[in-house]
Amino acid sequence: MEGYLKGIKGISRFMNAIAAVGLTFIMLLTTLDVILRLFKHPIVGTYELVAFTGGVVIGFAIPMTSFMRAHVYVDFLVQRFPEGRRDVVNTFTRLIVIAFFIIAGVNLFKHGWYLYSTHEVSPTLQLPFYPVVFGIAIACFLECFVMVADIVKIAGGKYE
Amino acid sequence: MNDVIIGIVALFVLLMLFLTGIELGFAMAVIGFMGFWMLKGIGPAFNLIAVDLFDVFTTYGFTVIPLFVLMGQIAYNAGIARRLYDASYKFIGHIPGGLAMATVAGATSFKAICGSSPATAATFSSVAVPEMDRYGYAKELSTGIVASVGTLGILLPPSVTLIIFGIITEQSIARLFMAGIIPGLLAAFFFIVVIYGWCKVNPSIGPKGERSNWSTRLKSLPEVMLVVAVFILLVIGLMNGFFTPTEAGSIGTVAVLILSVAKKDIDFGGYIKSLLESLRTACMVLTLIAGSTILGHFLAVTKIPIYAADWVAGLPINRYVVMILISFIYQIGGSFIDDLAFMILATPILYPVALKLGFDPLWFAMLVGLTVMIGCVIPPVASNVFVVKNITKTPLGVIYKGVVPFLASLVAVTILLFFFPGMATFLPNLLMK
Amino acid sequence: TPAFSQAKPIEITYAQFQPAQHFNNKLSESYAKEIEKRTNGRVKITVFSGGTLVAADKTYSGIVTGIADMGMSCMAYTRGKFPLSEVIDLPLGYKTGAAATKLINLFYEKFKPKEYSETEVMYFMAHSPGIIHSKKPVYKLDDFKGQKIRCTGLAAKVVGKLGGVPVAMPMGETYDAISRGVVDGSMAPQESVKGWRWGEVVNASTQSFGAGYTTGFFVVMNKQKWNSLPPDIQKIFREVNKEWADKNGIAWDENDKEARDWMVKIGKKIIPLSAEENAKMAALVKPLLNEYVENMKKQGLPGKEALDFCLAELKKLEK
Ligand code: NA
Ligand code: NA
Repeated sequence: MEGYLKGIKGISRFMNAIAAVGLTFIMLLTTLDVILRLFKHPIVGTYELVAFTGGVVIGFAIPMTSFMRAHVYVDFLVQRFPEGRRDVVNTFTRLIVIAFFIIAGVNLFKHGWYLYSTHEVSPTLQLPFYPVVFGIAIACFLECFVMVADIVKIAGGKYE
Repeated sequence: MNDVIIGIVALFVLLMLFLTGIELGFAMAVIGFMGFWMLKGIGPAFNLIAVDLFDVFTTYGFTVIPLFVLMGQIAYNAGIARRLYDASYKFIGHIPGGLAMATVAGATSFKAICGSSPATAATFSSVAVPEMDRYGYAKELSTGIVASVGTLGILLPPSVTLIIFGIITEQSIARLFMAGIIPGLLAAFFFIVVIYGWCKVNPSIGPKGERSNWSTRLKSLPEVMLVVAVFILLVIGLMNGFFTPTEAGSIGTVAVLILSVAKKDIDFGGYIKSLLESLRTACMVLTLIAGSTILGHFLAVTKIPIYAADWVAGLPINRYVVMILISFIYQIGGSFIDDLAFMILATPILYPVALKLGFDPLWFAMLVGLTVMIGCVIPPVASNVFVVKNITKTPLGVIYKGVVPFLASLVAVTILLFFFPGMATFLPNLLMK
Repeated sequence: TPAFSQAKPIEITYAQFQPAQHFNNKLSESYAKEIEKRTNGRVKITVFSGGTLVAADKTYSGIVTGIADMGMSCMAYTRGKFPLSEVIDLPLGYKTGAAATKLINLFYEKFKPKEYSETEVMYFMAHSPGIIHSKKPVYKLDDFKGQKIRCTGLAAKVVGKLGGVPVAMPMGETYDAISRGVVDGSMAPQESVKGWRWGEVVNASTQSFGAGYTTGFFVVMNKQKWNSLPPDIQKIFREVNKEWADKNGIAWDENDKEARDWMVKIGKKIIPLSAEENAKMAALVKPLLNEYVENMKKQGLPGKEALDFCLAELKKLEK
C-alpha cells in the first residue's frame, strides 16, 4: 500500500517535472523571441510552440496537482458527515473521476490517432499535434491511478 | 423544449454534485459530458471531451496564467514581496487597513500587465495574504480583498473582455477602453474606502501600526526601487509595443528572476519551488476553465442561453427592469460557464435589445463588464473565491465575510452607472470624437 | 398523413467561428432560414457563432464525430489535412472574393479530392485577397521591407518572401498589438480592417493583389446526419448550397468595399499599387507555388495539374 502511494507519487512527480521544464522553456523562448523581434528576426513559430508546450505544462501537471489535492472543491457539507459516511462519499466521487478520466484518456488517444492518420499539422511550422494529445492522454490515465491512491488513502484513514 | 428541461435538470444535478466535495472542474466536465451524450449521442460526447481538453490546454492566451503566477512566486520566495510590504507598511502602516489598500494598488497595477483575473487572484493569494498575516490582518479582510481585487481588470485596459465585446458589437475598442477607466478606478476607490471604513469600525481586522519617521521610510526605499524599476520597464515595454500583454508574463518573470539571482535572493531550489507552486495553481485554474468549457458546449446545444435572451428581448416592461434582467442573465450564465463564452453566446441577442431600448453602447458594455466582475465572486461558481480558498486554505465562510463589502462596492458602482450614464461615456466623448 | 406533418422538425446544429456580427455568420443565418423556408419547417438549423460550439481549428473533426452537425471553417487551420486543396490558399494573385470563391468550387468539382470524404461537402468559399494593412503606408515593395506583420500559416511565407517579418498572435490581440507597435501591420482581406476594427490603428491598406492569396472555407455536414435526411430535403440543401456559395463570394467583395469606404471616411489611405510593383510581388512569391507542386509530388497527388487548372481558371474568372 505504502509502496503503491510512493510509486504513484514518483510517477506524478516525474510528469510534473516535465511540465516544469516546459514552463521554463515557454518563458525563455518568448523572451528570446521578443528580443530578436526588436532586431527584426523573431523566431517564426513561437506562437505555435508556446501553445503546444502549454498543453504539456497543464496536462502533465494534472496528476501531481490531484495528488496534492490542489484542485478546487467545496467540502463544507462533507466535513460535517460522520467519518464512515464521509469515506463513502469520497470513494464515490473518486470513482466518478476515475470513470471520467478513463473516457477522457481513451478518447484523447483516439483523437491523437485521428490527427496522426490525417497528417494534420500546425499552420506555420507544420509540426504534428498528435504527440501532445498522446501526452495529455497519458496524464489522464495516470490521473486514474492517483484517484486509486486517494481510495487507498481513504481506506487507510489518511485522506483529509 | 425538452432540451431545456434536460439542461436545467443537469445544472441542478451539478449543484448537488458540488456538495459531495468532488473537484469542481471535474464535476462540470462530467455533467457536460453526460448532458451532451443525452442530447447528441455518445460518440460526439466522447469526442467533445478530448477536443475540449486538448483545446483549452493548448490555448496560447492561457499560458499567461502559469507565467504570472510564477513571477509572483519568485517575488515571494526571493523575499521581494516581503520587502515591498515592509516598505508599504512604513509608509502607510499607520493608516487602518493600510496594507490592504496597498494590495488594491498593487493588484490593480499587476492586473494592468497581467490581464487574467483568476491569475491575479492566485498570485495575490499566495503572495499578499501571508504578508498581511504577518502584520496581524484578519483573514476575512486579506482573503476578501484578494478575491475581489482580481475582478477590477475586467474594466481596466487592456481588458480581453472589452476587446471581445468591441468586436462582437462592432464598437471602437479604444473608446471601450476609455469608457472602462472611470468605473474601474471608481470600483478600486470604493474598495479603499471600504477598507478604511471597515478598519475604523473594527480596528482588529487591519491593525494600524506606528507612524514611521521619514528616515526609516527612505531607508526602506532602495530595497524596493529595483522592483519598481522592473515594473516601470514592463509598463514602458508594453506602451511602446516591445511586447504584448501575453508576452509580458515571460518578460516580467525573466526580469524578476535575473534580479533575484543577481542579488543572491533566490537559488535553484527557490526557483524550483516557485515553478511547482505555479504549476499547481495554473493547473487548478485551467482545469476549472476546461470543465466549464465542456459544460458550456452542452448548455449551448440545449439553447438555454438563446431562449433566455430571446425571452427578455420580448418583454413589454420598463426598460430599466429589462436591463436588470439582462444583467441577471449574464450573471447566471457567466457563473456556470466561462464568462467570455457566455458573453459571445448572449451578447448578439441582448446588445440589439439594449440599443433598441435607447441605451448607449458604451454604457451597456460597462454594465456587462460589472456584471461579469460580480459573477466572479458570487456562487455557485465563484472562480476567484475558489482560487483564493484553495491557495490560502481559508474556509469559504471566512472569505465571504470579507468579499461581501467589496461585492457591495461593485453593486454600488453598477447602481451609480444606472443613475450617471456619463461614467461610461464622458471620457470617450471627451477624448475621441 | 397528419401524423407526419406534425412530426418534430429535424434539428441541425451549425458551428461558426466568426462572431455573430460578421457577415459570414449572417449569411449562415440566412442560409438556415432559407432551408427552413424551403423545407416548410421540416428542418431547423441553429447557428452557433463565435466558436461557442467548437473551436475554429477543431470544427472539421468536430463535424466528422458529430459534436456539430454541420459547420464552416478554414482549411488553413488544419494544415496537412486538405493537402491538394491547399492550392487555393497559394498567392495566385487574386483580385476578388467572387472569383476566389468560384475557383475553389470549380476546383472541388474537377478534382473531388479524397481529403473531404469523411463529410458531406455543402459548398466552399474563399475570402477576398489578403493584402497589406499597415501603420507606415506601403506605396512600393521597398516600403514593406522589414515591417513586422501579423499573419499565420501560409501568409507567413508570403510576408517573408515579400521581405516583411512575419509575427503570429491571436486575432483578438492584434488590435492592441498594432496600436502599440508590437507589429507594424497585418496581412488580411480588406474587410478585416473593419470587422476587427484595425482601421482605427493602421494608416493605410495597400492593394497588393500581385501577391494576393486567399483562404479556402468549407461548409460541410456530418456524413451520418446527411444520410439520415430524406432525398427531397437533400435536394433542397443542394440547391441552396449553390446559391449561397455565390452569395458568400460576392459578400466578401461587398464588405471589402464597405471597409474601404469606412477607411476613407475615418481619414485612412487606400493605396492602389502600380502594375509594376504588383508584378514584382508576384515574382517574389512564385517559389511558393513551385514548393506546393513539389510537396504534392512527394505525396503522389496531382499538384501540378491542380495548380495549372487554378491559374488558368482564375485568369478566365478575373479578366
Ligand atoms: Na458566479
Ligand atoms: Na465563469
